Amino acid sequence: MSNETASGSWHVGAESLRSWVDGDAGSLVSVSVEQHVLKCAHCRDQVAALVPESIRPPWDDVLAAIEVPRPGLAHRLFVRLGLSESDAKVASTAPTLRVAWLLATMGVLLFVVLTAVLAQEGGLGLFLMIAPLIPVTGVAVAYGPSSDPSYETVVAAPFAMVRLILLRTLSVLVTSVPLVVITGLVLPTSPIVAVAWLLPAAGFIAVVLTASNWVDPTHAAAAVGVAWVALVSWAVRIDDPLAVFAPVAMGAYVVLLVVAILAQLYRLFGSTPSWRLH
Amino acid sequence: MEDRTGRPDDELLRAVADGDTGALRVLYDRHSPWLTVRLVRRCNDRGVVAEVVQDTFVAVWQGAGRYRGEGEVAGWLWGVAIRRLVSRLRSRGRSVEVPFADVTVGSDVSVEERVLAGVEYGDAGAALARLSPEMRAVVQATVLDGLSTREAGRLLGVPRGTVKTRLHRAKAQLRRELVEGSA
Repeated sequence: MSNETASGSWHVGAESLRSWVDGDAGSLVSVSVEQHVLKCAHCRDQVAALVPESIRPPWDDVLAAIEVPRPGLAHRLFVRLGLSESDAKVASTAPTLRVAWLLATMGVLLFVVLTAVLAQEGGLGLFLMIAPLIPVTGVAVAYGPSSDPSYETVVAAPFAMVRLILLRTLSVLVTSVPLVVITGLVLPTSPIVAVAWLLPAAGFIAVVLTASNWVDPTHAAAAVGVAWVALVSWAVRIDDPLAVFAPVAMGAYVVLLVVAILAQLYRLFGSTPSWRLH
Repeated sequence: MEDRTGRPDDELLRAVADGDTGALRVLYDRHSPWLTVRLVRRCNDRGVVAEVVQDTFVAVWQGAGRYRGEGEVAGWLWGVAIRRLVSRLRSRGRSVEVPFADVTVGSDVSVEERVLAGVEYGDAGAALARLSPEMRAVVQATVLDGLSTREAGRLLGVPRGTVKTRLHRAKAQLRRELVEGSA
């Protein structure tokens, strides 16, 4: 099964090599050949000459596979956190996970802090106005035909819309809420304010999500935004910005949240909303 | 391309780590044939094997920097390939019947080296042949293919504990026949 070459080193005989390549070799010959091939470039070349081209994947396939871009940081983070590949892909393509969005959010919050430092009263009002609207806007542009570049692809994919929306909303909350909370803590005001806005924000997000069954989410967010800005403006005008967190108001946000969630649950198994069909 | 073909494998691997697809091509031409043949002997689904070979070279492309320059590049490639096979089969929820097979060095060096040396000259062949098929498959996956007991269990579709037990028995039998028998 073997022969001595002119160089004096041992090589597998042509017959053994061929029987191994063809899968006819007995187990002992196979073990022997496989051990030898690991260390012998000459015999590897002999194998290459015997193996039909069709048995290996084409080089072009390998080349195509290595040229696929590596998944982004957010994608890998989501996979690390236990999301499946497809979920991670869908969640990480949210517009709000882009650097530009994060920079814009930080820019707005920096402006709020500067205002608060320079003119204390106005700073609080501005923070109250902006804080809940950041995640609300994020959710509104996280999906839908007007803002999501992967919208067409996702609509065509066998992927539940509700799942998409929840994943995107989650990724918005993960990125924007901590930034806003930190900003609230930096402001020279009660630390309660830094978290109290979360309740109206939750109510508004629920409203936007539920409204998206009938209208484009960006329109819903615009309407909610205008209402909130009007409310805070009124509170600032009566010199009590924190009136927006008065017990009555907080109760109203809870009602908003509960009603929106109930409406969403009712709609969940209903027909496809008209704007998604366009 | 011609001027590259004379370059040694480890040099090519360093070039791959620097992003040279030409070097990967040469490695692919040199090593994919025997890797494919050897993998086909572990898994008789050629479609799966083709995917595994492709996965292997993609992994080499991404992880060429991890080769530490110790030992044969061919052995390192096999280590990558057999693990790709294990993970691909596991993700499909399948295992394979391993006919018989082959190596890297594990923990019990004396017996394994004895087996490897014996394989080359033939005296371990008969001893291996006398092992039961289950024990041979375990010896092949661990001693010869270089898998951990956990990986071997995944490849063979048996619990890790079973792999350990069979390996222990197989080693004892081989030791009896090779070491004590020849003393």
